[in-house]
Parts: sequence; C-alpha cells; structure tokens
Amino acid sequence: MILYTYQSSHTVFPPEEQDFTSYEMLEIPGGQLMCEKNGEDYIICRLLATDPNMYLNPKYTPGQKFKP
Amino acid sequence: MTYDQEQPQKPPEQDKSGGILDKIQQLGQTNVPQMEASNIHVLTIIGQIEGHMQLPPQNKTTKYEHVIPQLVAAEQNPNIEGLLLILNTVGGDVEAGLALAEMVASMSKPTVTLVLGGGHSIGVPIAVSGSYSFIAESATMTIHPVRLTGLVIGVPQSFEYLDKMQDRVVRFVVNHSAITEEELKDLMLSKGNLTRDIGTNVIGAEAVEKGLIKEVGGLGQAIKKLNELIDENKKDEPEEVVQ
Repeated sequence: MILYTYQSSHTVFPPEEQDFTSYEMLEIPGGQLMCEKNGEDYIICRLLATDPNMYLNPKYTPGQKFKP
Repeated sequence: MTYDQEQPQKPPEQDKSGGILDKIQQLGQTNVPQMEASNIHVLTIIGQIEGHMQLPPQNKTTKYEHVIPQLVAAEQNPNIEGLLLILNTVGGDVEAGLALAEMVASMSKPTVTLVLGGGHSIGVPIAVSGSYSFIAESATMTIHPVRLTGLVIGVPQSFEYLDKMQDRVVRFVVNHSAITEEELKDLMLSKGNLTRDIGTNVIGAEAVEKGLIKEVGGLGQAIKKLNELIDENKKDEPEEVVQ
C-alpha cells in the first residue's frame, strides 16, 4: 500500500491503546523507573533520576527485571 | 545405562544445581563502590519534548511532568549544589519546552547546559536557559519557525497564535543568550540552508559565534565550569553564624 496524503502518519495510523498500557512508571526512592510489563514481571526500560550515582546502581540497569 | 533411563532423576538434580547456580551468581555479583553523594545532579533532555499529547511509547520522549518535579527537587534539596543539563533533543511541544526553559532559568542554583548531538527547535531555549552553556563541537542546533502539525481550524487565528508563540520563543532566547533579535530572526527565516525549508542549522563553533551558546566543549569542561559556578555561588551566600 502506498499512501500519498497531507495527513501525518499519526492520524492515518493512530497508536493502539495497548502500546500505552504495556508501559508503567514505578516510583523508586530518588526517582522513577519506566518499565515494560511482561506478564507478572517488570523489565526496566529507563531510569528517570537526576542523581548520577543512581545510574551506577546495578539494581536499576535497563533490561533487568524489577520487582516493585 | 541409556540416556532415557536417566531422565526421570534429572529434575531434582536440576533444582539443586539451580539453587547452587543462584548462590554462585549472587556471590559473583560485583558491588559498585559506594560513592559519596554527588553535589551535582544531571538532567537529560532527550528525544522529543512531550507536551499535552502523549506520544506512542516507541518514541524517546522527555515528559515535562517528569522533569518539572525533578527540577523542583533539585532546587529544594540543600545537598544539590548544581545541575547539569544534557540535551540531545529534536524539539517538540513549544509550551512544554518553554516551561522547562523558564524553570531552569529561574533556578537559584548554578546550572550548566551541554548540547550533545542535537538541540533543535524548542531545544534552543532550553540550551540557553542555564547559567552557562556548552555545545559539543559536532553538535547541531536547528533554528526554524514554529509550526503546527495536524488539522488547522481558523487559519488567521492560528497564524496569529503561532506568530505570538514564536515571539515568546525568540524573546526567551534573546534574553538568555548573546544573540540579538535581528540575528536570531535572520537565522530562523533564512532560505537555502535547509533544503526546501526556511531556517538554519548551526554546528558547534557556529552557535558560539552567533552568540547562542557560550562555549564549545564537552562533559569535562561542563563539570569544571559547574564546579566554578558552585564555588562562586557559595561565596555570595552569607555564611551561617556559628554559635
């Protein structure tokens, strides 16, 4: 299919609801973790914190499982 | 004994070895040496600056509802003496970007901004909002007029609104950097720099030349400058009376 339209791709292909619900923000001391929900587990996608030391903490390494 | 006969005995063994394996893994984990709490905090402004519209999660975004509380925390926490902002952004929501820029500009603590990779569009006001600004030699900043995506209802009103919005961006950048309004508007509206579009793409030293950014540099220089600013800030503060 080739589309030729002035509309943005977002309008033509709106994002699915599920894309949003599979991600969750979890509160941790000193910041937040953006996690992808994988069944019962959470997989860390991104650490949101201003403390640079927190990024050295292996507990918050992206890609790891996280238990809230 | 054949392999098949051995099979039923395997599960308990696996469990046992699994337990040992876990223990070995736990023992083998390296501990990061505990560092002293850092007096400098870092804020990364990466990807799109997300405003009122939530972008699909595959987009890398900086959400203002995340950043604003972090800025408030950094301002309030007495252990944090300086803030380093690292930018690599393609721009995004004008109001959200301006909100962040205003928040950073109004902080009482020294802030240093460092543009790495790109600080485009609404990244420009954020890049100039700090007490001091750096740009990496290879980093670029695209300066172009504010525009809208999607359906536009009421064209004259929208145009006026956009024009005012652009004025707000221009005013902020002019007030917080060494560039003049004429120069910035020239960059914003010049033709031929971006294929079939108006605007200019300034790279590293060029941004410094135009007065947008104060210095070309990287992480080392940025941290050094921030420490200098922290020391200056400490001198200005009246010393606490020791009783």
